[in-house]
Amino acid sequence: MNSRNMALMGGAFLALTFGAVAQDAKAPTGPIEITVGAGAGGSPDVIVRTISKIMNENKIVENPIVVQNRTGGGHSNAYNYVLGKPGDQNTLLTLASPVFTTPIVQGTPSVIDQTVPIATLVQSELVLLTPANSPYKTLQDFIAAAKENPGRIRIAGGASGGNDHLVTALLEQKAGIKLTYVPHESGGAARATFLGGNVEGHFGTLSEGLAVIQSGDARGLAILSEKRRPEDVIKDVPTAKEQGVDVVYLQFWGIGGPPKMDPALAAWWADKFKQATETPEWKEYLTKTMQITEFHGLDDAGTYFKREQDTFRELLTSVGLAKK
Amino acid sequence: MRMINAVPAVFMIGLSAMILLGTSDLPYWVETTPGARFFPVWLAGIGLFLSALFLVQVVRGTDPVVLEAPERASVVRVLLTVVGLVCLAIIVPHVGMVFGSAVFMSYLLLFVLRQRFLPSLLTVVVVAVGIELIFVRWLGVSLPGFALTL
Amino acid sequence: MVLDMLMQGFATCFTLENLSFIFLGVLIGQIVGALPGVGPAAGMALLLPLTFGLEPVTAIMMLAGIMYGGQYGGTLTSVLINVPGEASSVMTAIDGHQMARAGRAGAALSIAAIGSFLAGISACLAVAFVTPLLSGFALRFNAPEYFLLGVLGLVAAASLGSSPIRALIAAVLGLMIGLVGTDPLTGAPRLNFDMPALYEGIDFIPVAIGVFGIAEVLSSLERSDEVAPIRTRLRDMWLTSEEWAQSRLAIARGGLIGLFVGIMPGAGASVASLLAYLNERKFSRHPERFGKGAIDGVAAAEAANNSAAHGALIPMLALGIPGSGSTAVLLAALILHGIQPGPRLMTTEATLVWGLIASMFVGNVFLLIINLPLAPAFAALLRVRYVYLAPGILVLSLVGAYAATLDMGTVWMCLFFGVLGWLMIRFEIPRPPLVLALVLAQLVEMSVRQTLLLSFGSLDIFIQRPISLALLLLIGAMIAMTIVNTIRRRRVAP
Repeated sequence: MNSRNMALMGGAFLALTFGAVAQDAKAPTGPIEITVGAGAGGSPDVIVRTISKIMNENKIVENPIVVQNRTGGGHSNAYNYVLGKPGDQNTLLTLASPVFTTPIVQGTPSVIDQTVPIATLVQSELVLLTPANSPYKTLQDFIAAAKENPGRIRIAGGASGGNDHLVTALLEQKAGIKLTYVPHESGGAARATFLGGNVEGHFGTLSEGLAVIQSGDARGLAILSEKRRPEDVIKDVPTAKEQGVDVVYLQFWGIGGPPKMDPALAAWWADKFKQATETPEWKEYLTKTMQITEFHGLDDAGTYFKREQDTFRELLTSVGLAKK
Repeated sequence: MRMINAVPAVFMIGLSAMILLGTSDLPYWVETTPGARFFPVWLAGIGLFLSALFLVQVVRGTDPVVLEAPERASVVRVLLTVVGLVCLAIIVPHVGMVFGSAVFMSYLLLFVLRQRFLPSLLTVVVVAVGIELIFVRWLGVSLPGFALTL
Repeated sequence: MVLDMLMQGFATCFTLENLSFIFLGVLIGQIVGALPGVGPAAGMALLLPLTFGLEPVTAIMMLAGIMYGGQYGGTLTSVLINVPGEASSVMTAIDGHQMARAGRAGAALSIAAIGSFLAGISACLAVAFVTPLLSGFALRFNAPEYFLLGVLGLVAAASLGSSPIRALIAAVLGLMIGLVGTDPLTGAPRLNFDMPALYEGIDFIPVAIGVFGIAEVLSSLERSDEVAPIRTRLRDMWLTSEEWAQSRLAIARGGLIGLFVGIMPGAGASVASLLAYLNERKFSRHPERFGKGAIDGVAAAEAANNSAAHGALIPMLALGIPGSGSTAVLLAALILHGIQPGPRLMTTEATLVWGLIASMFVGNVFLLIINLPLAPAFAALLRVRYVYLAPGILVLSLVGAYAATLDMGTVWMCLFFGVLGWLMIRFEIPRPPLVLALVLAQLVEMSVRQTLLLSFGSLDIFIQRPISLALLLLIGAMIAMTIVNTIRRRRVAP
């Protein structure tokens, strides 16, 4: 490594450490596009629209931010668009689970390995629900029933290969049981199947779960995170770990930049997203939707994404969807 | 009996064969429920059956529909339009949607349909400006822009 | 009680600010609905950021206005140029455009507006008074019922066209298009030919735009050097009393079907208008006119898609489950405005919910007022010589296809289906069954496999559930009737 490279690396290091120094020098010019592979109203769409609104309204970022829904192809329209703009200064990609899983299922090169990691924005905890009139009071009851009658316990969830499916696979693995997974075209359709009393189980986000527990339609069996939630209705729902099943699964969303993005620009963005996630508006959004932000920036985010990618690959392989 | 009448049946047979071949690595049935190949197999089967019926009708001349042969000039006109559309789709990523469309409309009106110059120009301008105003300026749809350097 | 709440809702509605935004919403809906590719859901999403400065209730009223306004707007391009502005207008295009060709565009647009209005208002009443009841019904509808509903649609769709075998070939082709991309149940790649544009399957929008819009233009260009302009006389602009008499019951039946299909989270306005149209054809005394410009077909389809768009609000308000793409955006808008949707929304956010319901009455009135004078005005557009319309229609179709996904792949797909549609016209294969089968393909394939997963492989599930059993009997009766009719016709005509 020659001295010039060393100097460059040193510069990048400085930029990382002293984000404030770099930011004025590396601010992008002109409007910013945040590309989303989901349609309008989907979770990733709502998340990026919320955070761009906060960034623009609080003048954290002065450039107008436009959210574009490049739907279709399991987010591949979106990520191929961004992958096709190496070094671009005005484009960002929303990282949702299909960005990780589509390449694995289709057998194409990983997207995460090519994009520049910028930040993790949101994590969403899941709760395993059962109908209010079901005989299962705890996760153990549920698992015992599944052990007694392998494959007779049904879970309604979203599309195959999606988060609901993968967390079901994880639960099967960790508890040593076999469940019947009934996929649906959307999470909403799955919830309808569950509320109609057609299945024994359903994974909901906390806010969905809270709503149906509160209305008396469902019972929460386990929260799939490290610790319980403080909210009233749901604070008595124990974690899966407490009940002896080591299942921790967070849905997460993040932001990446196109390949070969200027490291100083990536650092600028990481700093801006961090600022946005510390605003009261963002905190309020998280409380309302019962989500959390475990912020990671740049290389930390990169490690996080790589680790999640490995998890996705392992789970997709176990449900037979990973293309060899 | 004219062989040209059999084209839909031949097309359907080809498609059915393609579906049967293309799904050969997928499971037909998985445990209690049909697999990914269940529908394709049945559809291809129905497609083949319908094609056979169709062919019988054509051969026996009981097909009630009489196809009219198109004029040469009109087929040429349609082909030129389709070629124009294909060229449009090729150039759009480079010259932009609005400009490309304007070129295509001029080509269609002046060269293929041989219309008078001024009304054609008016049409081109009205449509191009309308698309720019409604889709790009108002709705903020990011249509491909002008990027000849690409 | 309900009436009190509704009155309170109207009180919320009748401020200058709210009324203006409702008007703005329905106007925008009208426009984006008419543009191919940019449906109401996309229009709502595009305009969502602009609502951030507004009061939540005002924002939701405006966005909902876009949602149902889109149903009125979609009619326009379907009737005038045979390019469905959005998915649920396909059925309108079939007869509406034929009416336009016969110089009756004004009548088609008028009956569409009136039908949409009457069905819309009735659906609003249903939302106001029987939401809890209907949401319970929506939940009784699940995979087995969806499957049978889809089969019902397919059985009926196969009867469109000049000869049954041709209609069936078109329907099978549509189902085959539905196979492409991904197996809907397991997510395994299937027939995607390693093309990213096909990973998620072939969307309905490029197919409908291509097979109807582009193919229609190609076919018109072929006919002669000088395509005759459509003669529209002023007195043709309005409905005749005979047409109104034909359409009244069609609107009632269409609206009812639309409401029921609309509240089911698994089916949407396109399935609703399809079923309403096919049902009308069964009831009609002149089924042979369907596809050639039957006004009751237009009336039923339009009444159904509008009442379905309103009905989709019922599961959203009562259960927090979006019943359609547009209600999904509405839910997102609620969240962005800091309101958590869910089964308790109607009690915790009563002012907002009832304001919204009241605003839909107001919005529908606005839409009727906008559309009635516009119908003849737009119909007059067809007086422009067709050669000058053709390039614009082609370009608008492609721009619309691009706008739907922002990807050139969709444009190519649209072109491909345009040529296919033109070939279908040449070989006299009817096009509607293809598009209808594509709408139903995923519903049918997905739901039968879900059903068997739910029942662990037992077919008994179809007869154990009351609604499913009723549908099963209905399908049986329909098939039996078709067979009896065919035999009887053979006996009469030696």
